[in-house]
Amino acid sequence: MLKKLMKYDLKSVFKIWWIGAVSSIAFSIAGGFAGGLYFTDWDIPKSILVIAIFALVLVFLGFAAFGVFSDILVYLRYYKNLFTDEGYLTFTLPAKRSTVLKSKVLLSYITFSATAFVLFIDTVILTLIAGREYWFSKDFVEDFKYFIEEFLAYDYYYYAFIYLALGIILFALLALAGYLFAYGCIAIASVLVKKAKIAVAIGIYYGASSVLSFIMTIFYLFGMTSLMNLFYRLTEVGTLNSIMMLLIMVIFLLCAFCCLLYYVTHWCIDKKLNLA
Amino acid sequence: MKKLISIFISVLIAAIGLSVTSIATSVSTLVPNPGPENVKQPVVTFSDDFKTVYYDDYEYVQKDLSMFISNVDSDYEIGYYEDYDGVVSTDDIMLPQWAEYELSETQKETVHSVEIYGDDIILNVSINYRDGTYYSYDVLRTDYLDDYDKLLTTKGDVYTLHFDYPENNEVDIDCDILFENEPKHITPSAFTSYDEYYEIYVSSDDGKLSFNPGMIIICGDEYYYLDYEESGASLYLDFLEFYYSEEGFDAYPITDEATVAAIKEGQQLYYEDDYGYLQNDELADSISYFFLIMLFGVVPGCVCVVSFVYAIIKKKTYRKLLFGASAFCLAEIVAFIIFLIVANIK
Repeated sequence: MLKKLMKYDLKSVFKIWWIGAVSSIAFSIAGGFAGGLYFTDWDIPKSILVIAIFALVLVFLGFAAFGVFSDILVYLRYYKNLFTDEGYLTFTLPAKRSTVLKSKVLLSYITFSATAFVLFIDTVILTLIAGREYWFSKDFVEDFKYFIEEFLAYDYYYYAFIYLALGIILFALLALAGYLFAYGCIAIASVLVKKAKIAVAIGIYYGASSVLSFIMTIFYLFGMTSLMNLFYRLTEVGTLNSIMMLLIMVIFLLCAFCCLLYYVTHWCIDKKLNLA
Repeated sequence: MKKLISIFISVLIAAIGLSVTSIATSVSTLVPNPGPENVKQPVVTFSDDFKTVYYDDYEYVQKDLSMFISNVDSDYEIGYYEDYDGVVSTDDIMLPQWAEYELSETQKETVHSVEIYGDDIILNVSINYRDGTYYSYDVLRTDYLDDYDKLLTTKGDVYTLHFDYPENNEVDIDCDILFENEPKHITPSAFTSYDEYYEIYVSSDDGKLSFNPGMIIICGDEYYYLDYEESGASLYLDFLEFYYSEEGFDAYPITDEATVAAIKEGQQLYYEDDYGYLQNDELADSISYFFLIMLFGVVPGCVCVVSFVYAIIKKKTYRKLLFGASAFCLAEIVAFIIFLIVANIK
């Protein structure tokens, strides 16, 4: 049943999502040509450069808008499908509530990955077009060779790969935690009130975010000092190892946080939700 | 669908509004600063071979400034980029021009651009030729030539060393102590940068560097004291603003224990002033560790126990999730213990 639920969820979101994706790629091409004006040898009038800045700002805002647009689509699907009148139909399907929630989490993740991939492609296109005179020149090949040589000459270069892997895992977990956090807030709001669920959900989201950021601020203010002090005293390899361990700790904490968020959301939908 | 499209359009309109604001800012920054009105622009001219520079009614001659005179007297101190940051080219480039540059027709044929940094006394001139070659050299104002030569021959009386740290603490060193031994030429073996601070690892060819009680590095016009954190034959100079030079630099051994002690004291003061805003306060340090242990030790520990207890009580579906949370917290605590071991916290 999960496959069928996924199929309809993906159809619902991606039938609109692709418009944003194609627009962002069009934006990146335009941005590439606008950015290229700075790297060309031509004598460009200042007025044209000003217009190019305008275009570039628009392009980057367009990228941001695409990211927000994708998130809104996912949250709308989740909310409409589970907490409005449509929810009656959803819960009459021969599927467990846990399966419905799983489908929504997977949907959010697939949309997130697709959006991240498109934004990555956008950046590549923009960079390639903007710096086309450099990328396709001998200078680039030489600079690249030099970079690789310098990189490999560094004693602890393999740490770059470890940090890259940890960074990707951390990024993915942060995205998951973000989606689960929003899902949890919507679920709690729907349990608490019958009307204005979205407004209450946003209120809970901001309230919980503020509490979390307050805790983190306290930690940064008082806890980071000893961490920085510690890294400062260590040798280079000691610092690299310590930061690596710190990242692993944060990853484990995020995993636990995701489990708890999933648990809260699941519990609300399974035990507390009453659409009547 | 209609609602979605209207939301999207609203976001786009907001984006355009923001863009217009940013454009207005960009335009204001793009307009070249004409400089104060009615202020006479200094004029820079060069001799045919560029070895003599005429700037602001003074004459400067090329000099191999292996050691700058800036530390003899504060009046000689060199400003870097701020006051007379002259960047200009024979082409009309969009940069503020604080000095007018006059190049002869012959010079214009070969030179693409000229950059000058410095102050009233010493200038660093960089000439970029049209064929892609680059030439950089220092020039000294002619009325200071005597002072400079005197310094090189007699080495003055007392050097006041302005270490990058401690910024407000000066250490007086007898120049005879500084130049007691022959300087060692050092080639940097590795270089990394952290924002505006740099780390540099140096080692001498003969490996004797580590046997000296102290070392002054003279690089460009700055003096640095070499730190003692040794790693084999390498010495570690940490968190200093260091002007990197691929050619290396001269390091002067200091054999006088009192001088080394004075420098170390200044160094300690610097760390306490600039980096030790909480570090050297025992109470603050304890509070800091308390929060560290709370966040990565106590809180996950509590979550681990509570989740585990609930997992035993709850039914199957929730049990997996709660066990998961408990296990991840436990793993985090193990990682924290390893972290403490790796970081050698006692």
